[in-house]
Amino acid sequence: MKKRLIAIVCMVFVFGSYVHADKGDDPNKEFEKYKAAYPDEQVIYLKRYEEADISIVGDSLRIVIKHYEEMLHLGENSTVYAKDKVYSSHFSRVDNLVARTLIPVKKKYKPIPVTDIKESFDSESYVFYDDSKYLNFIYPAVQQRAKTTLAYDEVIKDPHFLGSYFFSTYLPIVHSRYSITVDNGVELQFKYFNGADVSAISSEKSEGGRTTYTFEMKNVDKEKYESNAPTFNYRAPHVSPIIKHYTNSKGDKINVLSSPKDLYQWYTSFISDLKDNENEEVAKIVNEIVTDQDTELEKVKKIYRWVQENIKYIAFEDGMRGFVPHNGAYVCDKRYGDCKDMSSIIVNMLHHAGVNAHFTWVGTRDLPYKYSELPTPSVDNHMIATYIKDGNYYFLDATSQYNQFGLPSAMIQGKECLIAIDDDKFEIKTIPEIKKETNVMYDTSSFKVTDGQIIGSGKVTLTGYAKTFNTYKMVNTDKRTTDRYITRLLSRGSNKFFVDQYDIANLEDPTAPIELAYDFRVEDYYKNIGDEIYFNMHLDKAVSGALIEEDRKQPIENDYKYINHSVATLEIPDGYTVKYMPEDTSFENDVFGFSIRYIKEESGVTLEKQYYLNYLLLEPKDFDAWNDGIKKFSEANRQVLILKKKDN
Amino acid sequence: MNLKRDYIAIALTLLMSLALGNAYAQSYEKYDWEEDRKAFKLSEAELSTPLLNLKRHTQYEYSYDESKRNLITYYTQHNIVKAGNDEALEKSNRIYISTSGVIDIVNVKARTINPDGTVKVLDSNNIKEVEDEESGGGFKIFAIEGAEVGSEIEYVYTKKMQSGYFKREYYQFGNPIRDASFKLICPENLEFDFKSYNGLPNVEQIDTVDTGNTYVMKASNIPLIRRENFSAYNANRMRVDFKLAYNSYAGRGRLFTWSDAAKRIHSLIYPFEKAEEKVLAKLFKQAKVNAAAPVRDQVAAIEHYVKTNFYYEEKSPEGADRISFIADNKFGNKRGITRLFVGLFDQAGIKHEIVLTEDREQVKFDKGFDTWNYLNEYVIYISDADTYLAPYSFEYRLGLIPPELTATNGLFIKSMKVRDFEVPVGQVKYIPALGYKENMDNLSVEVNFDKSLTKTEVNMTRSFGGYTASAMKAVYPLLEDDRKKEMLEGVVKFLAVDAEVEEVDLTQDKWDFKDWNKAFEVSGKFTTPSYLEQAGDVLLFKIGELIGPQSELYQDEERLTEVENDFNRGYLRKITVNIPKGYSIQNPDDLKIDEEAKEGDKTIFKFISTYQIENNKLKIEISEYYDQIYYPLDGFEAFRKVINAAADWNKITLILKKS
Repeated sequence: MKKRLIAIVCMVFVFGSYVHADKGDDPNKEFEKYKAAYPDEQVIYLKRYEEADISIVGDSLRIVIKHYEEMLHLGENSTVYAKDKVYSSHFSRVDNLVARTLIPVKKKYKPIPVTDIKESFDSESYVFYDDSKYLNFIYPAVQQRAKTTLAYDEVIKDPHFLGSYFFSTYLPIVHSRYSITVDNGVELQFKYFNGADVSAISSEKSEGGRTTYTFEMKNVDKEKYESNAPTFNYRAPHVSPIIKHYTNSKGDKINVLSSPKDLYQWYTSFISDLKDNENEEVAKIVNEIVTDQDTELEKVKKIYRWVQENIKYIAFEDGMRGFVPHNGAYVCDKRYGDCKDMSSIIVNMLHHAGVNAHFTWVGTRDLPYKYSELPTPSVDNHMIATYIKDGNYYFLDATSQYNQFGLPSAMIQGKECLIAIDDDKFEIKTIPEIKKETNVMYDTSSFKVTDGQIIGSGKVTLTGYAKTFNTYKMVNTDKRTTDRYITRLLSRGSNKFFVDQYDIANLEDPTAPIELAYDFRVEDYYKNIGDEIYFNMHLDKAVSGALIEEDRKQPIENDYKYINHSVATLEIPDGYTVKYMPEDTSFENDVFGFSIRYIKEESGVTLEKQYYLNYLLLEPKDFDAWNDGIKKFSEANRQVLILKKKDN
Repeated sequence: MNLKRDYIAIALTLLMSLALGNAYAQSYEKYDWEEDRKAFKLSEAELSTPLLNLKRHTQYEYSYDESKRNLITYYTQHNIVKAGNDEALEKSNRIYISTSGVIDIVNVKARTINPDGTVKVLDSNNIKEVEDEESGGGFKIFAIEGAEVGSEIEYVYTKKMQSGYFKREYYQFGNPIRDASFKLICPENLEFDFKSYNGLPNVEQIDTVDTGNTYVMKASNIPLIRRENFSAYNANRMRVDFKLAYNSYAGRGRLFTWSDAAKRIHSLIYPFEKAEEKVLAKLFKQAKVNAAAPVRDQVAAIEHYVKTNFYYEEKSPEGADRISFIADNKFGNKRGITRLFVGLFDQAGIKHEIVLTEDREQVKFDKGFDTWNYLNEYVIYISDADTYLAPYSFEYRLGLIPPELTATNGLFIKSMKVRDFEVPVGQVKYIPALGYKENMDNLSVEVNFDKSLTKTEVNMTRSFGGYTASAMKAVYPLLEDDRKKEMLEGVVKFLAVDAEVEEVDLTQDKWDFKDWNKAFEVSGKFTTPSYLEQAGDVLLFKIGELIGPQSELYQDEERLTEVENDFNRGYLRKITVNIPKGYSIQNPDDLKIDEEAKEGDKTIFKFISTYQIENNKLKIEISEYYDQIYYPLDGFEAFRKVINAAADWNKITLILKKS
């Protein structure tokens, strides 16, 4: 088998066309073999190959990646896999796409080509406009025992965008292989993620002035989907080839991405002249916002605030525009922009105000990489501005409109960022994870029981990210939507919970916490039997019962760490006294903890309750600790107070 | 329902040439916005409306092109929106103009009028175009420039388009409209008919001059519409439907009647080409239909064959309505799959009628207005078995068609043989909904307490029938083992999120066409602490949770639309509780709830629960059903009480005390 594959690879290079699909295999034998190996699967990939080829042409590099994949339909219900699409963009153009279905006829496969390929834009994208597109097609006659094959060339326009090869996908792969062939003079380095260095077999072969590096894995398990798990990049083994430098035909050595320094040098070309570009309109607005009396920090605060409020997020990514920000004047005129544009106007406005701020690249938490590990554009997907004062770093992300000054946006917590200090100097800095104590929902309420229902009032204070995230939910075009959200946010007792009135303060003021005052009612909540009232003080049972499945494999993501703190007071009805009060309990570990305290006073019983979630990523090793805490918490939530009528 | 429309109306009418006689080419009446206008003055109430549509004008101008044979349309849309908060601004600052069916966009303009009076006009260089070949069109897109909270966003565009003769315009959205208007201009030989729905004023003809006919509609202060539970959102929005009704050059008869539609559709389905007949004969052989079996079984066998060997592909290429295409590719479009069925029924000699209808959640098929816009979904009526079949909805089987295509009208097309000719006869008739007994979701549980009295052990069987099972039956066989297990555990965990599932099983896991109607029955065994709360040695047993969370209509919001159920359905629940020794229930009568709603003498919605206690065994029976799709707005409270009765039952807690 192996021999034949090598032969095929050679043919590809010779003829430049695809003949991988083994029409010679006996379809029946092939089917039986893989059906036995994968009895549960509807489809598997027999082959997934990428063959990159880099040659030196004059001053530059010519890069083509040949893709080939072959899928076998094992199940009776595999037609959902009949549809396929290939992504093509400014940076990686798709050419020579050939797709077909191979139908078993006696001892051979009969090929039927795909003839109808339709282009479409990506309507799901958060980017409003870009020049990328999908090539969509449907494999004909897909049925059990059929194979489908897909081959195309991906032309990489710029050597910075070589990308990564993922050995696994959401379907099993019998043979997954990546190879890269380069002319002598092209110097590569390879970075491995999620164990690819151990699990992939690599080889190297030099011949005729070229070197081929091959990485392959056999019988690769599929990646499973689990809810709230981090992205695919966190778990799928992959290799990232990086072109460090090459020697062009004139003998000059050209650096591409040998280090973060090269990456930075390339990046700086996108932002040249943006910071200190003078503009009348921008100057006018800056003069309206800041005064000479303001300290630098106050200026930063005001300008960040202005951009948050006035520049709406709309992304246009046309070719290199995906990397090059517009200048401040343009963004100011349009009043919209993407992350780069917002960073650009912040830096530029601050410059007008005499304050030095810095363009900053960062990967959101969707990406697991560090600049030192992967000095390529795959490392990041976002841009912010950074202001540095006396060793303090202020990460200004205006795409997060309601974000409080001083906090980075939640999606970049814990991530490395690349700060542009000047033309040559940069700094790599880790953005902090914000402590749970910053993000608090604090609720005080008091209530009484009458005619089978609870009636009361209370106040919620939301700070930090708890505020940011809730503001989005509370700013709506229809008041009913806000009403319903408030009911859900405050929800307690049961779904027979009613918010009769509420008032929100400081919603759009980033400097103060949200304060939400409310009157509420819960019907049919407690039991009054004979002369006793049974009352569970845990009206809010959030998180209770949230056990993690035993067979869960992947970590669980959390937007931010937080504390929920509530103080709830039940007024003891006239003529009643406390007969039974549950015990106080508490529990703490690294990821979760709670404390429950009952306080009996003359006129009422108060439950003071606090719990916290202290992780951004809950790792499998912590699942037991989590479940342990949740079980204890749930049990504590099931303890009920008894009030008894006093004897006359 | 997310099915791509077949747009039969479009497919059909392109065949008709309307320009008979002495038509003349017309240039269109250019529509434009008001130059140099000031911002609107807003009332107090309007100021506090975050998103307000100040103006919404739609205009159709039908006109003959240079050849004097083709009717084209200039379609104009003019909108002014005030964005009063961030969310409103974000909802209104990205504009998409569909280019489907467009010959040319003759005008696009946009501007922003800011609270301080400054005006920012869109730079037309920033208008981009995106392709979507799959849907046969694309969009012109642009972002509104210079807008801030409080701005008026205004845009107007005119597209030159291929003409459609059946159109629909909506005038009610998630935000209110201050001034709405509609105008249609057409050559004098043409006459349009209009019908307004859900309270939108009627379209009136204002003018008959030599050169053309003009129709207008004006409405002001149209309130926003919200989604309500047990209600069809889209079908309740204000809208106008219109159609080309007369062409004096083509005679005096009404155009595009139901009868015309029947003929056209018939001609699209039939005849089968010779090559197609050949393929059909071959496929019919493969289907292995027993000719001696009753009609119903034969139909079921054909359906099983088609639905397991072919599939419906919404993004099919052209030609996907041909039998040979389907045979080769294994998929077809809506019309194609329908034709495949019809062809196979012909092979078997099974009598049938083709029914065209529309999703009632979208619009209600109005028998009284013959617009072909209602003819979007195919159903096949099997006359000999008096039942329906949904040709391309693979999760349904004979007798069960998508519920949104029932309890509504359809155009039934019957083929009559007159001598040697097939003559199609069309008639609008009602497609009835199934009764609740066809869609039962039954539950039986038995509960034991563990020794420590902190956990309950539960044996449960839940049996889904009819619509309540169709999605599960369709999906289950496609899942891999882990997912199958997850799905079944999901049925158990519906009763207790923290259930420790000891066993879960499916009574049968394959549904052949012969026993498709058998229930999807899940049985399981689990323990959970979550039904029990402790107050010292008193036990609070949250027995209500044994039926799982229920739909509710608790919140006191003003109800604006009539009740519309997805489908009729019933629930029969039997609960047995083995009361722990030495304990007695303090409040068993809490278990009794009885609510119902009537139409005349007939009980149509009901919830009733009863119990008995014998030998320390508590036995409960709950019967709940909904047996009518529609219920008028003034009966809403009665419906609500029945719905809430189930949700109330879910909250029942029994107090168990040591005797």
